[in-house]
Amino acid sequence: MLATLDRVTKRYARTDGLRDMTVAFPPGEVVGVLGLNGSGKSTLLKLLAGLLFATAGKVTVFGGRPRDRRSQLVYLGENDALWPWMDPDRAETFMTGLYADFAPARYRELLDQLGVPRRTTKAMSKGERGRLRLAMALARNAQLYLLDEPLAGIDLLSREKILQSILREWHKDETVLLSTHEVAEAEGLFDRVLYLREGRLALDARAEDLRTEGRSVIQTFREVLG
Amino acid sequence: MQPFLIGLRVLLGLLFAFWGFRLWQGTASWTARGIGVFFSAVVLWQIAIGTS
Amino acid sequence: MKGFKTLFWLESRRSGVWALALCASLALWAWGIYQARGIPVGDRTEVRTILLVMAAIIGAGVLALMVGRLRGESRGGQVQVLLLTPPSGFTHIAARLSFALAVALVYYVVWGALASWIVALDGQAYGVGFGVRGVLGLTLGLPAYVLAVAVLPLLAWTLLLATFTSAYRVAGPNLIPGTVVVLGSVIAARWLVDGVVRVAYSLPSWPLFVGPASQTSVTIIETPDGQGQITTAAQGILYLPQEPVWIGLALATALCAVASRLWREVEA
Repeated sequence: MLATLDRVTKRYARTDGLRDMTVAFPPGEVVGVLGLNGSGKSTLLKLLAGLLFATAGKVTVFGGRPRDRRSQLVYLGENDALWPWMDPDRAETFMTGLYADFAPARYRELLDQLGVPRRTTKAMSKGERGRLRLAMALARNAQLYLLDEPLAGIDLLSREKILQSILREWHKDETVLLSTHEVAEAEGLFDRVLYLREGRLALDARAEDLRTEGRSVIQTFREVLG
Repeated sequence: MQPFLIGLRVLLGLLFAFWGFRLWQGTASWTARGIGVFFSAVVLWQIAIGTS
Repeated sequence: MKGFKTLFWLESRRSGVWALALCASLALWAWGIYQARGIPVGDRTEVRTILLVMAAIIGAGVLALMVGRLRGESRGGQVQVLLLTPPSGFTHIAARLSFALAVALVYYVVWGALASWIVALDGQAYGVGFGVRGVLGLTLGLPAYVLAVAVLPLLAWTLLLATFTSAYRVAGPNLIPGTVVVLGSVIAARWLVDGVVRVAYSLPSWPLFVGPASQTSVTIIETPDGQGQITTAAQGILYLPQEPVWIGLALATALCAVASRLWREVEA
């Protein structure tokens, strides 16, 4: 198993992020993490990334503590930010200097594909900033990608194109966890879907199984979380 | 004046003791807990010995 | 260390404007010192010395602010990005501190030159001349002393404060961590200074050559607990105690070590 959560609870000051969650991720899966706002999607990804520590239970990534494995995983958070003076070139300097698995050639390809302007982030729109961060994340060669609402703030017309780009990037042994609350896009994208509700795992299903049962991802979403 | 000062010191002491407790509870980091308790203790000690 | 180089670069881009503004501000102090030539001789040196002391204190304050902007960064989301970069907590802390130290070095050496300038301008009145040894002493020796004793520990403390308060960002109590640490530090600092003054001059002191003097002068500094410390300025030599340097360096190291440890344990 690439990553596991074993009876993990994450308690915040006033609420619970996750409650007693147990789930395992083998290599080579594209997993969708779906749920309403506040259902624990971000918490789950942050725990796997090592940005948060579990209040109870154990999170294991590549056989160890997530924070200790941070050079082997890619995390793209919703609230991540770059510095206002950063532009794509300086971002490249940043990534090349800190990550051994960063591929500058792929990065520049992605910048073009995603249409990232050559400006500082201060002069970019939210969507453009999101695309820059996406390019930085996808240009790394890791085995585990944790993407938290990677398409937030990106306009509807670009989303389809970008999703296709993301899909094309994956190789067989890479595991991707992608959280979104735009469920419509999830059709055909994931091998497996996790439905989170109020910090618990409401349903863990393989997309294939859903299809054999004649259910769509959206339908199941409404049933399970409605 | 004396009782007032003593009362004030007791109140301040309770406040910082409470804050020390909240600093302990508010983080998962043992290092942060140590620091929080250390500095709370320093303040409490100063309150206890007064302005000598 | 590749990571260190990049983090140092990041810090230089992040704080470059602060650094330039700070160093440029020395021109202001120089101007003030120059303008003081209109004041009668007796008060003139006093005013110039006060300006110099203010420049030293404000410089340290600005450096601390420059180094400690972690709070703004955690609200801005950059801390999340930094926490997940491969370099260790120590590398992050060291990179920030190193940049601040480099800026501090430039600032305080120029400041030391201002001190030399004051001696050159006013020294005659007190029988203190101006020589190469004096200039070197004031321009390099004194800044190094000030850095080791005060500035470096202050910067390390600021990094610790910034990292400590960011450890509570997720949980909630917002002003409490900062208030407790600042208040506790002020109290602890007083105790520390008392202790340092008590042990000062136990080890042989270091001569700071200010300039050849035609007369010997004696300065007495009172300590809070009443024990007088005598610093003789004989033949233009100021004797500085070496204990504060070692204590300052040890303190800075300890604070950095704790801040590095904290970095590993911070959530975002």
